[in-house]
Amino acid sequence: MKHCGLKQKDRCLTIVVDPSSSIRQMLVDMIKDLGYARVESMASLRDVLHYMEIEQVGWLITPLLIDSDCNALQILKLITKVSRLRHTCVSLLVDMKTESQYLPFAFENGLISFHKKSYVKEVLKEDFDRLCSLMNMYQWDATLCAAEYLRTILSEKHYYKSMLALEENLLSLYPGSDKVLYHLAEAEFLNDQKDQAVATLGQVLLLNERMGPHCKRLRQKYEAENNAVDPENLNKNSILGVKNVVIIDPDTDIHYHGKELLNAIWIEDIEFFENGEEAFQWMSTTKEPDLIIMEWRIPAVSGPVLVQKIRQHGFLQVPVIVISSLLKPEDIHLLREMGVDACLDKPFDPRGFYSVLIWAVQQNRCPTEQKSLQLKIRRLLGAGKISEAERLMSHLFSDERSTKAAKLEIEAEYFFAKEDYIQSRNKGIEAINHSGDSLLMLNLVGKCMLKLKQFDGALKAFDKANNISSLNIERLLNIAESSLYLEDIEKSKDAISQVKNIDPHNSDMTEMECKMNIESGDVKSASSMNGDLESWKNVISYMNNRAISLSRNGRFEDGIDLYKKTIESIPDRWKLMKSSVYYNLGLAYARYGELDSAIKSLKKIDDAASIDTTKKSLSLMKRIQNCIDHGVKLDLRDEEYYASMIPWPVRLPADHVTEDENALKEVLSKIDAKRGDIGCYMIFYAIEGNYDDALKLTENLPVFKERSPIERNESFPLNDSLKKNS
Amino acid sequence: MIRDEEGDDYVSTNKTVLVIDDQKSFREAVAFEFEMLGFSPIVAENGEDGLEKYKQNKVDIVISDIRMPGWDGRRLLNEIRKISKTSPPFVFMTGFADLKYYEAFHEGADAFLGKPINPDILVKVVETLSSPLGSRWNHKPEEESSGEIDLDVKKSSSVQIGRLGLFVPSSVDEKILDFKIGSLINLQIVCALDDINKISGVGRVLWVRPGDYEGLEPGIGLQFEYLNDECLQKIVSYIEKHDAVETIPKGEKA
Repeated sequence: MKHCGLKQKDRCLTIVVDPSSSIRQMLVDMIKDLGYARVESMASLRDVLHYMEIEQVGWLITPLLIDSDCNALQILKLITKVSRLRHTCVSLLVDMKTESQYLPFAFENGLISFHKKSYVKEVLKEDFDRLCSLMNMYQWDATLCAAEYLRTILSEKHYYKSMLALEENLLSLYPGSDKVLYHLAEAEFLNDQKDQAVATLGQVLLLNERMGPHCKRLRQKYEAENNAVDPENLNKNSILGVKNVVIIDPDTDIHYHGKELLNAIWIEDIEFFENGEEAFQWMSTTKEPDLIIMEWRIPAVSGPVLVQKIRQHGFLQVPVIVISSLLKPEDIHLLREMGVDACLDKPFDPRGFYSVLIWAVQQNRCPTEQKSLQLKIRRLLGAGKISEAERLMSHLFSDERSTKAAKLEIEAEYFFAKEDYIQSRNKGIEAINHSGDSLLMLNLVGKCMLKLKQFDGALKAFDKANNISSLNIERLLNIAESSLYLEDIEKSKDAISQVKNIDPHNSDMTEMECKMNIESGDVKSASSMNGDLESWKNVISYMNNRAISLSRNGRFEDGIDLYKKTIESIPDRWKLMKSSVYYNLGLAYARYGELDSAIKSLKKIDDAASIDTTKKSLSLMKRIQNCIDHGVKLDLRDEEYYASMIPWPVRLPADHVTEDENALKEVLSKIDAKRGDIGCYMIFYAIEGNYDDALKLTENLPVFKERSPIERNESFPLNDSLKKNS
Repeated sequence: MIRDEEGDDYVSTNKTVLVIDDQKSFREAVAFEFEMLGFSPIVAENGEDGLEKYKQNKVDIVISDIRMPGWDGRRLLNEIRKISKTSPPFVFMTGFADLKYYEAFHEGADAFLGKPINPDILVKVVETLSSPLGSRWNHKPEEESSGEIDLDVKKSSSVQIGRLGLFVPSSVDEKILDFKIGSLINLQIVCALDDINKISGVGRVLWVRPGDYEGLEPGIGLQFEYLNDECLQKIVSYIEKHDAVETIPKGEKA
C-alpha cells in the first residue's frame, strides 16, 4: 500500500535475468530507456539469490526458468518468507502458450506483473511503458497494480470465482475506493450476481459521480436488456440494502446531518439517541436494526461498553459504525475485536460518510453466508450446543466457496469448545497461516496455551495480539494471569490497570486484582476484595494451584510463603476455605520436613472446617506427631500432597513443547508481513486451476543467508565476476 | 502554554479563549480542555452573545460550533472578521463538514476540529496557530506524503494563495481531485505571483471540490505544512502584504 521501490528510478536497483547474453543486453537497454539508472544483469536466478543476500534489489525482471536449479517461483516464495526481501518487486517474462498456467500461483506469492516474452525491444518497451503508467495511475501502489495484471489472467482463464474473492479482499484493504468497488461490480456480474452488481455500481456513483460513464458501460456490457438504467431508478434501499438506522450521538448536529445524508439515499427510518442507556433500552425491545452509527464518547453507557452490550444481546449481524474525533487509525483493530465494523473520523464529509457506510455494509453481506454461518456456529459453541454446531459446520465445510481460513477458524473454536486445546491451538496457528483473522486466532491460541499451562507461549501470542490491537478486556486479563504465573508482577499490574481504565467494575478484573495482590503480598487490598463466595473460590483455587506448582518445582519456601499470604487474605468469614488452605500449608511444611510448623498449621484448622478436612488433618497430625516422637521420617503418600480444589494442570511431554513454540514463532513472524506489502500476497488465493506442478517446483526452497556487504568475496563490479562464473 | 508537570496547578498563560456552543455539555468540555492548556475561558451559547463577549474582552482564540439557533457559526465568523480581519485564530468545531469548508476558509476560518474535542489534536492546533508563519512552516513533517502536485502554471495565476495555504484548480491536473482530505501532498509549483516563482514544500488537503459549484471551478484547497527556504520568506511577505481575510481562497475566477 505504500509506494513501491520502482517509484525512485534513480535509486531502485533493477536486475534483469536471462541465460542469453544478447537478451540480457536488450533488457538492460530497455529498462535504462525507461529512466532507471541502476540496472544489472545476471544469467541465472542462483546468481541473483547470492546477490540478494548482500544488496537490496528493488526490481527483478526474469523468465520463469522452470528447468533451472533455481526457478522464479522459488524466488517469489522466498520473498514472502524472508522479511529482508519483502521490498523486491518481481516481474515475469512469460511464454503465454506454455507457462501461463503458473501465473495465478505466482500472483498468490506476490508477483507484481507479467509480460509476454519478446525478442523485439520496442515491443517489450511498450509493454513495460504500460506498467509504468499503471504504476503512476495507482500512485505506485504495487498491490493495486498487481491486481490489475492478475485480473487479466483470471479473466482469460474464466476463473471468475477467484476474481470475486480477489475483489472482496481488495475492498477490505481499500475501503472507500470507488475503483476497487467498480472492479468488484464487474466480478459480481461475471458470477451471475446481477442485482448485487447493480447495487455495487450504485455505491460507486455515490462515492464518485465521475464514474458515471464507466458504470453505464459496464451495465451495457453485462445486462441482456439494454437497460441503461440511471441510478435514480434503482429500487429504494437497494444501494445499501439498509432500511432502518440507529444514530447515537450527544451532538444533535450529527443527528441533523446524518438524517440528511441518509435521506439522500432513500433511508427514512432513523432513530436518534443522545446517550447509550436510552439507546440500549430501546434496542432491547425491538428487532436487530440494519445499521448502527454511534459516537465513541457517549453519556450513560460508554461507547466500548455499549458495543459489547449490543453484541452480547444477540445483535451479531448489524454493522456498527463508530464516528469520533477521538479515534486513531490503529484503534480500528480494537474496534473490530469488539464488534465494530468501521470507524469514521470527525469531522466527516458526505463522501467519507458514504464510503464508510458502503464498506460496513459490504463487509456484512456474504454471498455464501459464510460470515453469518460462522457467527451462528460460534454462538452455538459458546452455548455448549456442540451437536447443533456440528450440523452447521458440515454446511460450512461442504460449501466450496467457504474459504480455508474460515474453516480452520471454526475448527479451532470447535476444538476449544471440546476442550481439545492442543488441536485447537494447532488449527488456530494454521488459520493464521491462511490469513485467517489473526487477532481472533491469536487470542484463541493464547487461551489454548494458557489452558495448557504454556505461559510463555501464551504471553507471546497475547502480546502479539496486543501489538496489533492494544486493548481488549479478556486478553488483558489473560496477560495479567500469564504474567502472574511467570512472576512478572509489574506486567500483571499494568495489564490490570489498563482494564480498569476501560471497565472499572469488571468482576473478572476484580478477581485478577485480588490474585495479584495476594501474590505481591498486599494482603490488605486482597482481603478487602468485594467478591462473593464464587469469586473467592476462584481466587483460592488459583492461589492453591500456584503454591502447589511452586512446591512441586522445588520452590518450597515460595510455595509456603504463598499459602501464608493466601490465608492472610481470606476474610475470616470464609472459614471453610481458610481451613482447607491451612491443611495444604500443613502438608507443604510436612513435605519440606518442618514437622513442628506442620502441626502448628494443622492445629489452626477451625472447628467449622468440613468434616473431610478435619478427619484428614487429625490423621495427618497423628502421623506427624508419631514421626517427631520416634525420630522417623514422614512418608507422605502422593495423593496427600496435592489436596487441591481444581483438577491438575495438563502436562505435556517435553518435545511437544518445542514443537509448539516453533509453530507459534513461525506464525508470529508471518503476521509481520501484512497484507498489501507484497503485491497480492495474502490477498489472492488461487482456488481455481491445478497447481501441482507449481507446488512441486516450490517444494524445496533454496537456502537464503543474509550477509553483510563486507563479507563479500567478490570484488566490484559484481557484474563481471558473476558473468565469469556463469 | 506552560504546564506544571508535578502538581495539579496549571500556570496560566494570560490568554483567553472564547467558546461558543448551544449545547452546555460541549461548552463546558471545551472550556475545560482549554483551561488545561492555560487559557481562561469565556463562554457563549449563541452567535450574538458570542459577538458581544468578543467585543467586551481581549480574545486570543475563538472556537465555535457551526449549527446553532439564531446566528450560526458562519455568521459569527463573518461578524468577527469584520472587526478583526486576520487574527485572532477562529476555529470551528463540528462533527460534520460539508462542502461549505471552502466557504469557511475563504471567509477567514483557521481550522476545523471534530467534536468531541480530541485533546491531543487540540494541543497541536493551538500550538500551530500560536506560532508565527515563518517558524510554522519551517519544519518538514514526519508523516509521509501520499501524493504530489508537480506543475507549471506560469501563464496564469490560477493558483491562489491565502493566509494559510493555497487553492489549486483541477484544470492543471485532474488527478488532484482524487486526493484524500487530510493527506499530505508534495508541492512543486512553478508560478508567477508577485515575486514568488516557485512554491516548493508540503501541503495538507483541507477540501476537495469535485465539480462546478456556484460558478466556482473544481479544485482543492491545501494548507501549508512546510515550505522550503527559497520560497518561505517570499510567501510570508506576500501574505503579509496582501493582508487578506481568506485563509484558503475558494477559487473565484480572477
